[in-house]
Amino acid sequence: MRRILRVVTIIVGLAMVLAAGWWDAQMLASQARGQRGGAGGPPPPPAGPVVRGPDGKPDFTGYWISATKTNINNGRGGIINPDTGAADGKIPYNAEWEAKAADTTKNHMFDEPYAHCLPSGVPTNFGIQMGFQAVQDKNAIVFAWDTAGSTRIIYLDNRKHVPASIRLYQGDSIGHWEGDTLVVDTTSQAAGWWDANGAVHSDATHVVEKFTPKDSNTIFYEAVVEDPIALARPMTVTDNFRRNLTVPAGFRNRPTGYEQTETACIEGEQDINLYTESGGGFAKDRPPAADAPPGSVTAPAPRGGGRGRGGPPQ
Amino acid sequence: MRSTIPLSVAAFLFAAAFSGAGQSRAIPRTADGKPDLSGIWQVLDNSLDGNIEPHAASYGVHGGQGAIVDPPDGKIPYLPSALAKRQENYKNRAKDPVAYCFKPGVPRITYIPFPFQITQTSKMIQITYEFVHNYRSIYPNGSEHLPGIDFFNGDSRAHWEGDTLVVDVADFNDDPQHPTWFDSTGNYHSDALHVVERWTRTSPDTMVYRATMEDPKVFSRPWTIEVLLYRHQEPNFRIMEYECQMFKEKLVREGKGNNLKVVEGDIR
Repeated sequence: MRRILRVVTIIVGLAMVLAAGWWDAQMLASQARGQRGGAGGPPPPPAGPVVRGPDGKPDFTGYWISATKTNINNGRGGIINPDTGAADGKIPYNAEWEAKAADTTKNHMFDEPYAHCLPSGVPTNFGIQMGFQAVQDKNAIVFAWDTAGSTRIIYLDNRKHVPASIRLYQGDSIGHWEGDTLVVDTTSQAAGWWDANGAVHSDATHVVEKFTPKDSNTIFYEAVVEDPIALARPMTVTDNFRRNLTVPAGFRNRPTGYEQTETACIEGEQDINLYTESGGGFAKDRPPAADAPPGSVTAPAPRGGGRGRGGPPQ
Repeated sequence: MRSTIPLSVAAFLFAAAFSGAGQSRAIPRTADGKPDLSGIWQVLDNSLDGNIEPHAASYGVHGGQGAIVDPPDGKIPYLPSALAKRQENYKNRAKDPVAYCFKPGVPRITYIPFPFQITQTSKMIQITYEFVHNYRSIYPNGSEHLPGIDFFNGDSRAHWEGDTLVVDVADFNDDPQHPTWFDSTGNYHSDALHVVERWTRTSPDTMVYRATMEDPKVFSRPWTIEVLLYRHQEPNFRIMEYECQMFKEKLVREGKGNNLKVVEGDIR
């Protein structure tokens, strides 16, 4: 039953998302600890030069931490204010989508994609999930996130984008190098959220990201986000990714250090329990369907994790 | 004399053609000289996910000869006491965990009918699967299994034996409510499962995948499958997304004012 501990961890993680401000503080503290090499651990070596692969290009392979932006629109989401150049801007919504986002925050928090274990999209994934690992070879850079276990593949072979009619949660990402900067063009992204607080976007986004390594432990990140349906003008989101130097207790005696472990974001289970008719989710006044999975009907829906902030509609 | 010249020419052409073919079969290698397993791979035999043992077709399942090369009869060597559970699973095969979007486990995740991409570095090999954003991290760095943590897809530690990547997979999930099966007919294992995978790239476009399963709670002896993987060569082929819980949610989410239904509610 050790897996249960993992599930509890995830539920706790989701609950933490509910308390955005507190969560921010925790992550900042965690990152501060990370800079010191973890509680009780030796201090990490100072940052060295940019790590490079056999082809001389920067090699991002490793474990990274991004800033947590559960609410991207509170002035701390890394959005550039075009008037001042400071990273304290807000989403430049047009009037219609400003209202739509406000309505989502007020009435539709149960739809938060993250609460359904769905991939969060670009650049959202960097803001609302905990650390991620990057694995880079000649074909692609692959990101995999610790919470919800999302993955994202950035192809590096100058391929074409997928046909414009296709929509993907993570979009279709193609990257190329401009000097030491990885430039990634993402199209075909499905409609989704830019944060965990109702900042909805349309399915017409176009995102150009730049990943620029500053030293062995830092990547400067900039994403120019276009959404001609939802935004009055493009917005620029910035961040600094820091190499995750935290070594949790379970890894301290291992010479190979930290590893990112599997996350089962209770795939399907929460949604089937809480949302589908066959699982008796919303439709509690209806008899369960014959194909309801074991345990999903008789057990009351657990409170808390996976449900999003608002819970299922009454 | 007149007849020997064409013969030698023919022999030369044959040798040239043969050596040319040999060169084209050379496998790519990484900078450190190891076989380069990177690329997008998929099984062609889609009957295996239906049933890993030899089987005739049934509703929704392709007929197939199975993948088990040992024992020779191609059947899983269940302990007599373990067979009842397998029959019970078969009766309840509509509740195949994969049909409910759970992680498929190892080795099933290799032969479910979805592609996966291998990204290879000297310290970590990541396999990224199209099926519900599964991924596996495989560590060819001499490290030991993680104590005290269980995984749906196991904990993978690897080393090279010649040109074969040998992956020792252990620490499987032991939650009886959320098992992993070998196929959709309910062939199963316990938490004592131990899998040794052997990945051998046999040509630029093929890879032999062998996996030996041992589980003293369920099987009377170890057994081995062999599956041939093919490299996707289509221009622009890529890993797409299969987020299967969204399909399950569709009915109840219609009309709830959510913006996610745009993703799957409209045929575009």
